[in-house]
Amino acid sequence: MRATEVLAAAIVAAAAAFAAAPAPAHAQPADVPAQIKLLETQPADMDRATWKDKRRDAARKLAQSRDRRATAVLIKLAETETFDIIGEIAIEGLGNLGDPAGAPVLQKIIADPSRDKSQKDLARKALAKLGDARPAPTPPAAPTAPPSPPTGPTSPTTPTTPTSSTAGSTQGAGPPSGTPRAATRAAPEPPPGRAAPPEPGPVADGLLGAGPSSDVPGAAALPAVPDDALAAYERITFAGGTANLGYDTARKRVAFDADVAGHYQKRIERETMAWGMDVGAHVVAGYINPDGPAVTRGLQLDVTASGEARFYSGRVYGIGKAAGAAQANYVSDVDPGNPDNTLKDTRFTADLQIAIGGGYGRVLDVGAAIRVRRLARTLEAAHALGKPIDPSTARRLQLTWWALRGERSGYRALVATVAILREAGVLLGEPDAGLSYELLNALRDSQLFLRPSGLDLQLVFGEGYLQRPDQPMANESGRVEQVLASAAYGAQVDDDKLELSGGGYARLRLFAPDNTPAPWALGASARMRRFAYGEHGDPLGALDVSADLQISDDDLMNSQIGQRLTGQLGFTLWLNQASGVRLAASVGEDRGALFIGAELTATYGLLDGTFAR
Amino acid sequence: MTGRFAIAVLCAGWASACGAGDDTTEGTRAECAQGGALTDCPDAQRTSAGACWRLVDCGAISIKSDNENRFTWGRCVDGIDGFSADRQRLVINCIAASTCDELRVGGSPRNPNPNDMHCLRFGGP
Repeated sequence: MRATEVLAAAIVAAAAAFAAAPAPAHAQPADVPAQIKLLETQPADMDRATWKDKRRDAARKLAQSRDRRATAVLIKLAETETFDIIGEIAIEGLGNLGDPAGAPVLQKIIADPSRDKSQKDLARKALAKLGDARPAPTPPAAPTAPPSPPTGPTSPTTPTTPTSSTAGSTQGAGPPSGTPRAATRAAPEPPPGRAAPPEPGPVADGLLGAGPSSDVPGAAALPAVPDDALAAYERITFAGGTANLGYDTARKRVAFDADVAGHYQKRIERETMAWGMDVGAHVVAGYINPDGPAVTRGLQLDVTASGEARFYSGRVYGIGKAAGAAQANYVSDVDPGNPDNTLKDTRFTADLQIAIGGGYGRVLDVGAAIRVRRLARTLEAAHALGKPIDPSTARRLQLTWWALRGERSGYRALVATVAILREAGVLLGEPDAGLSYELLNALRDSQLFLRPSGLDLQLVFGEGYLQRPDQPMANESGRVEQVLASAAYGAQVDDDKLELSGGGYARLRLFAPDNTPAPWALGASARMRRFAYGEHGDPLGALDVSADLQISDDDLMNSQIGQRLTGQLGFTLWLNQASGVRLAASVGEDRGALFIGAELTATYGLLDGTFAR
Repeated sequence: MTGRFAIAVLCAGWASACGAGDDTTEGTRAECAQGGALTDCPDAQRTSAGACWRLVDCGAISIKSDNENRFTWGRCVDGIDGFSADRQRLVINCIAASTCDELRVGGSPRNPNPNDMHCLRFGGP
């Protein structure tokens, strides 16, 4: 009986061990036709974005299947899907399949000058796996045809829309093509209707000089942004402000004033988590000492810090926030004529607060992505776009600009941008003077900062302690609980030339002690900005229209519920380098009080025409 | 008008108005008027009108009053505009950098004493 039990246990253990053993890298045979079908046909009940993801998964599974029925499909993908990551999956998969039938297409990819270096490297590795590690054939001297347009879907995250560089076509907000300049480029003359890319790679020499690769920051110099980051930013404003010092013997008066602020913000948005921090300091100082005993001196120091972390599940998130602030004021004002009017006052306030809650969605600053799109449109208009800018190249460009933001001039940013675009096979040939100017305009465009995109709704409960002076008695002091709601929206439409944005907030104090006010406030805003560009990417002006509504109640005895509605209009148009029109107008109404303001500035002239021998 | 004289005029106006019943428009609070550091607070415009709007937004002063001696938005703008340039910069910068709780004084917003407002005293004569 005991022997039987031991034997049974051994059989069970063996069966369990067999079941737990790694399965061989063979897919289920029945899966192969299904995966091939999924690759070739979009299911009716599946949206396009989901299908793209499923296709990539199917390609991976086929590559692991070692089933030679997959060879033809992967060959087709490797040949045609030059803009989507699925093409690279197929190249790698041909090596894993081990079918010698895949060797010719891998050799063809290695020899194709229009292919990315990464794709060629993958093809070499795949070829080596097939046991054919022969050197790749030398590329033909004559320009070859450009990569075939993708027959399948392109990457959903590809930031550029154009997929071909058909002569005369313009897409988007970039400068219009004007006169086609392809013939003026150093690039080989393309066949009619098609642009023939030269071999991409480091720029040797040309308009931008030799050896620009030294101006491209290496990987170590790029900011550390996680691979799965949706967006990130770091903003530093150090010692921004003004300071004035004056003395004159006529009045024997010394006057000094300074307003200096430093600010640091950082934020990283990832699929499942986001965090941000904001630290700032502000100093206002003054000293005025006229002739005589009167003297005034003052110092105001403000320090703030806040941070938040979000954890996402799909579009819904939970959020935790913390904020702290401290402000110290010192004012001494000696009135020599009236000692009773002399003031010496020191005040200190401090806030320490936390909040937790939840929300939906997120708003990202997509300014850098828009700049990438503008580059692509500029290249396409100049018939110099070899292929769309893929996500990895877009990422490299943006991180390079980030790394070079401290440069005094835009030279390195331009040279690095050209080198990266050339290396990726995006830029065909060396840019001439006209294209270089347009690229520089795109890089320097200050209208591409703070461009929001997305929707964010949030509701949090806050608890905190507010330290306030005893006199005058503050409406809120000590423990303060509150509920805060906020909304933000941003959209960049019409090829990024039109921005629609808005926001809202609501705030209510909770659990206020007896005889203590529970103020509330809410508001909403909407804004539209239209940007205009000239033929070569010069910013021509902008139209800015906004409206704000605010409602509040201090909840004090005899206090009023306030409601304010304001609207602003701003319009700037540069007619030429010395002429422009600026119209600014605003109107506001606050409980019957009406405020209207308008300003029109118009100048017309030309830059000086000069000559000297 | 020197800064000290301007303040004296403002204070005299406040003193004569103290306790008077009147029709006052307090104005509407901005998002950061209460609630501490958790609430967002946009920068004030560095102009006399912008600084005085911040005082209204924070509940430090009212917009208008039928009592002309009250320290309202209009008197605030006129007062700051009457300061010398250096004093004007200091007052405006001080208001822009202050929290709302720092800007409110006794009697705010309907009947504040400008002599208690440290930012208005900041620039000196």
